[in-house]
Amino acid sequence: MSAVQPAKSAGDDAARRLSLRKLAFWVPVWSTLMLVLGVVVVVLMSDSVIRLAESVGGRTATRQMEALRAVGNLERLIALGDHFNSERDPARWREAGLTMQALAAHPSIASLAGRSSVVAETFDTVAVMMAWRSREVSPEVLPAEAEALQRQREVMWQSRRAALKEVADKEAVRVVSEHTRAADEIADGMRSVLMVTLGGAIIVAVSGMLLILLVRRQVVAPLVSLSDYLHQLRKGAQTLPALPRARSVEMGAVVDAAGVLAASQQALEHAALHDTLTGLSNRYGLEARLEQAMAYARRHGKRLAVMFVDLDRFKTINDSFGHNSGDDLLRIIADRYRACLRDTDLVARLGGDEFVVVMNELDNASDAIPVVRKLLEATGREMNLGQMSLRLTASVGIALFPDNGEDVSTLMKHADIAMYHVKARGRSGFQFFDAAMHAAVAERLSVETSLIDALRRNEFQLHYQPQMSADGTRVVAVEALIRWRRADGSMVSPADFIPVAEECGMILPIGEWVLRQALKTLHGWRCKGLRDIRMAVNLSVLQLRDVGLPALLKRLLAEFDIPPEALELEVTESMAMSDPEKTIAILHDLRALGVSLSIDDFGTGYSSLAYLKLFPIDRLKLDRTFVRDIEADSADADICTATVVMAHSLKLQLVAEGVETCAQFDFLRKLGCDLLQGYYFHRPLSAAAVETLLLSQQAQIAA
Amino acid sequence: MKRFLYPALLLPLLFLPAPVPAEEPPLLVLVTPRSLPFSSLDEEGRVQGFNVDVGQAICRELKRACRFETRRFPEIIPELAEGRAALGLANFLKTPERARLVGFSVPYWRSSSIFVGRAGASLEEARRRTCVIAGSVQQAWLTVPERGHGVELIPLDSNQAVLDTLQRGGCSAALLPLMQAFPFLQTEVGKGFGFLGTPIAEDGLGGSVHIAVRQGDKALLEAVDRAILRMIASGEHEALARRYFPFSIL
Repeated sequence: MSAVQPAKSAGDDAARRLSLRKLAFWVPVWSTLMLVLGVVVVVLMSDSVIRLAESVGGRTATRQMEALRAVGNLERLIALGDHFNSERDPARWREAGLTMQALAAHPSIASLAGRSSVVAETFDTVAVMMAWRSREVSPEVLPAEAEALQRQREVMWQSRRAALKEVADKEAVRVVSEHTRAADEIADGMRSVLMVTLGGAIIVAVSGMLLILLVRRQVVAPLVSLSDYLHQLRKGAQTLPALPRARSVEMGAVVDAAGVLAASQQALEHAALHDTLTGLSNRYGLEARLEQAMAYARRHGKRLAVMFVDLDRFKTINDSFGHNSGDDLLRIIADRYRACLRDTDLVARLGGDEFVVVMNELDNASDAIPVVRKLLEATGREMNLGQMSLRLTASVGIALFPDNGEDVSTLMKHADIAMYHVKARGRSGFQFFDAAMHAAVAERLSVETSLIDALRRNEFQLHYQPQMSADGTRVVAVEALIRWRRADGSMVSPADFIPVAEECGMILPIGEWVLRQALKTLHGWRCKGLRDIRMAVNLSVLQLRDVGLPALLKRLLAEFDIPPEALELEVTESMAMSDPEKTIAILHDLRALGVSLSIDDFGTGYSSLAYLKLFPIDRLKLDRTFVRDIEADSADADICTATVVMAHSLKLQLVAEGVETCAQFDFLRKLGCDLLQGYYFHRPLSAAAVETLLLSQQAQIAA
Repeated sequence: MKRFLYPALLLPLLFLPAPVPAEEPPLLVLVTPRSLPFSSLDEEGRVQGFNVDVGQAICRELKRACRFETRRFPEIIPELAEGRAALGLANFLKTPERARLVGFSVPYWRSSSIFVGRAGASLEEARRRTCVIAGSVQQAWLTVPERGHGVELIPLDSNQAVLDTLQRGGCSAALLPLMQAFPFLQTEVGKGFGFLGTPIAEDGLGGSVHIAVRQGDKALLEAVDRAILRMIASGEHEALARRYFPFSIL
């Protein structure tokens, strides 16, 4: 829950969030634009440099070639000049001279004419030198004059030669420097292209890095942590990692959705695993956490104690004070239990007034005892509900892991069994489970299973015990008693199976069967003329409370043509007194049918005499325990006496049960008991035996 | 879908043998037969000389077969103007009149003109009877009244004819491109002759020399220009020139 970011900060973030949608549009657009721009810049730069190189190179090359040719031709001219002056052969110097003239006339040298007048005059100079040389060799010129001419020619050539040489040298130097300058110019251009390209490349690289960082920050990183978050959520971790901070609108929507999802998921899980009333774990939460605790205990060789805590008489409180008070009470108890336990321990409410406490990491079973005492003490502390204050008790059953079971359901079942033992023992206290309890429960379970089929298999029988007149000579009535002979031939006592039948709901069909069977038997007897006999049948508490009972009785009585007064229904004292008001109403309904009614086992319950006198009954049946000790215990004898007096004063007949000896019979007869029942007279007999008895009795009377 | 089928129909064409380019007819290249050392006929009647070498080099550059034929100097421009021949290499200087009839390439050498006559003769005397090549710029130059006043102009078919006539005394001077007169002076028969006056480069008598390309064939002209520039840049031009001239004539 804590992992869900508060809405406020999410709202603050939202204003600053990028839109990935816009980003996805603009990044490619800008990248393309920048790329195109970059390419254009580089292309323009390169083009300008290429143009520069071409023009500088081409122009310069043309000019330099021109200059080189000029320098070369000039050098050649100088060489030819030297040759002209030193050559003796007229044909040779003439050819050299002509070549010099041709050279001088060529535009390459003419282009250098501006540099020096000497260059411009070269053609004429050569013409003059050739003319002079011609004169030198002509026969009419004197040797002295020829020598002067030769000297004059050589002096002239030397001065011209020097001037030409200077021009050639300067031109050569100029070419070299121009070449260097052009190369520098091109190199500069190339360098600037390189710089621009490099700059572009750096911008592209930096933009790329920024884009990668942006994508990482905006998309990849939030996705990774979101994935971790969802993984933790799926694993059902208690504490989730923090949600990533989304910096984009779309990612923000995803992150927010994940937060909401996590919150609702956890809320759902919490609701599924917790009890809404107390906030404790519910059955599912308990089972899940118990599994974990068991796995932990198994790994570490520890014990667990699973305690079933059931509040005693909680239902009564709930009924008396209302559900709201009951709920308050459960909350108080839950808080108290929580306070008693370590954090590692577990307390759950299974519903109703059932709590389960699981104690972890026990070394010995006895380690659980102080905690149980604390729980019982917490339960017993006074609590206030409105104006009332009350104290509760609890019954605690404890099952140990691994001693009493190694799985959740077994442990819970055993703790439950142990708890029922506490209840059976009289509530308030605790009990460790032991295997014998389990055997008892198993037996009971087996009874329960076979009971369901017993009716169908016709395993029940009715025996009838006669009730004698006060003088013990005549059978006045019989009490129908059920017997269960199981398929294996064993007899099961009603004391063993009737409570089970009551719990599993089989008591109603069984009770109906008993009524039908008894009335059928009675019908048979009556058909044989045995009309003065009454049939007593025991009712269970559920039968008594069954609203269909009067209708059933009416139907059965009609079916077997039995007058109602021939049927007596017996209700135990404790049954009658558990809810006397209701019992009175029901008994009146039955009474209206005309059947007779009696209170069975009288003296074992705590009858309120005030109610007793309101019950519309005919007889009281004194419990056999009083009869048994009449001779030995004077107190019992007194009770019997008092009961007879009381019954008679209430205009009720008194029936004594369990008469086994002559002495008892004498005592009871003297007391004035109205009816007597017991082995002294007759054991419970089969219908046929009773019939024989009654027929012989009728014959006696007739005689 | 169908639209993609139509191009597919053309696919088989890819596998057809590439069309063999029709054998282009050889370029007809015109030179003058008697202009030493630019173009002349050897004993077997084959053309030879600097212009012939340059022409062949250009044909190699163009990757075209060339057929060399000789014409008299004045015939060449008209033939190119009519488109009957492709190239003309006869040391043409560029004049507006000629430029209207033919295309001119970039220059491939530079020239100036000069009078040639008996060595030591006065130019004023000699130029009274001057031989020129018919249709040449030198002829045109001398027909201008103030220059040609008192000059008897003898136009002849070829460079060699001019020089032969000069040698025989048919004229006292010849006005020729310098580089066409120069080889004559170097010969045995040219011994008594020499340059008269100074070289004349102005008024169209000097400057760059071009190859004439047939009228209107711009592609050929550009290809020839590229070929010349490549030859100059590679030094091939210089190597050719050195076979014929003692210095760089470009």
